[in-house]
Amino acid sequence: MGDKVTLIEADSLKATDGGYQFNVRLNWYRSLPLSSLEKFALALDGQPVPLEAVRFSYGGREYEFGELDEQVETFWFVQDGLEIRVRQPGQVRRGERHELAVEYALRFPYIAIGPGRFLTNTSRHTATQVAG
Amino acid sequence: MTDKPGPILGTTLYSFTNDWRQRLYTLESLLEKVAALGLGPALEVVGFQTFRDFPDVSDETARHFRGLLDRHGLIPSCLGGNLDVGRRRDRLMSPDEMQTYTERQLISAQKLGFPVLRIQHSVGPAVMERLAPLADRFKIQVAAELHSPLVADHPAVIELRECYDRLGTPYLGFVPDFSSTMTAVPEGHWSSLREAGAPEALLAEAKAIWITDRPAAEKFGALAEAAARHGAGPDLAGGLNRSLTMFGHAAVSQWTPLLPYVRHIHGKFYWVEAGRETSIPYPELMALLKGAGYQGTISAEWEGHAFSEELLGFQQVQAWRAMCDRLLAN
Repeated sequence: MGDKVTLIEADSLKATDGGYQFNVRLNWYRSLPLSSLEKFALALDGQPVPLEAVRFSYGGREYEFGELDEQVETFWFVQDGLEIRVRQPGQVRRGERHELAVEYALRFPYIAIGPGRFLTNTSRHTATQVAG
Repeated sequence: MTDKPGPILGTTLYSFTNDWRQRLYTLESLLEKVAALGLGPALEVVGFQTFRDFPDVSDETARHFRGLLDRHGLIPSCLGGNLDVGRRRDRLMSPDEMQTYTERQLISAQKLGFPVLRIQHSVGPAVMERLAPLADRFKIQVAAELHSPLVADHPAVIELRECYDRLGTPYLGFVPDFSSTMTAVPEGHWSSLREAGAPEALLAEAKAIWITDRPAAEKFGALAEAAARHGAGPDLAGGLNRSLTMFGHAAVSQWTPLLPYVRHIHGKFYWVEAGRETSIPYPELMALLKGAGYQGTISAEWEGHAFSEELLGFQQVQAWRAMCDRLLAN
């Protein structure tokens, strides 16, 4: 039987040269353009991570948060993780245990709830993982 | 009485959203299971759920998909398309962009072999009219999905019907959804609100508001007032609003004027137990469709995954199918 899909993908934390990375899953039933990601907040071990240190990697390309708005033709597939790459050298080393807390908001661009307004869902998840 | 063929039953892969998100199936193994359990022959997919290359499926994707359906004796019923009018944060799609975005999905429907493309009703009559030439050329119906509160006498639906009548093409239509005509809100919805912290007294008030026939605006107002009085936060208030947006309380008779424009129906359901859907009047709906001689397709559309990540899709679609077979045989 399958495991429940968690926002922060299980066992996805990895230490990297410049910091660390992990995957988040799409909390919806259909793929959405990356421009649907309205808000993204990350904390490592309880410390908020500045958004400038975060990059979003999907389909072989890397984006800053501010660049996502323009990605109206890049669709985040329902079965895929979005790779979150964080530039914080030395914060996460292989084998260490860390707590990640993510909050993001998704705008559903086909579900209008008023003139120019769309249904937007906020999801949160906190997970402790050992870095690979 | 002549022995007319009735509705053609099947399923949408959307019913298996939990299994799909948990990566328990590939498209190959999912279709194999649908066929093995006898849940076809009509097969519907949501383009943006099933195909990585949607909205522009490749020739290879299309060839592979058609091959799988052939192998399993499944027939394509409806391709679920999406009109992402709000894909840019700063502005809505222009009518030109809406047309192009939908036409790309219409071309994919044609490649994949679907006779109907479902699209949101927000497409509106002006863009629908622009889509008619390609729909006519492909002989594929572009159909506006009708969810709660969109029933036959809703102004937005009347506007589309007038457009279809004026153009006189059979390739513009509707995909209605059984969730417009429900007799109760599914228990799973109340459970999820309970888990989100809703007090019982608030849920009781929400149920009482839902069941009335007051205008939608009044119901939203009454619900907001009750939520505020019980100190509900924004998340809970949003969940309460979904009681009205997801679950419609219109009369089953609202279906009759729509049927001339309908080739495919979303057989929405939440929970079938002991041969009965607990919140949707299937006996009346099936009797209406059979009596009207409806010969289009109906998908089992299990949406219990809105409340639970449990892998109940296959069990529920099997139960739905047994119920519908029995009701249609009566």
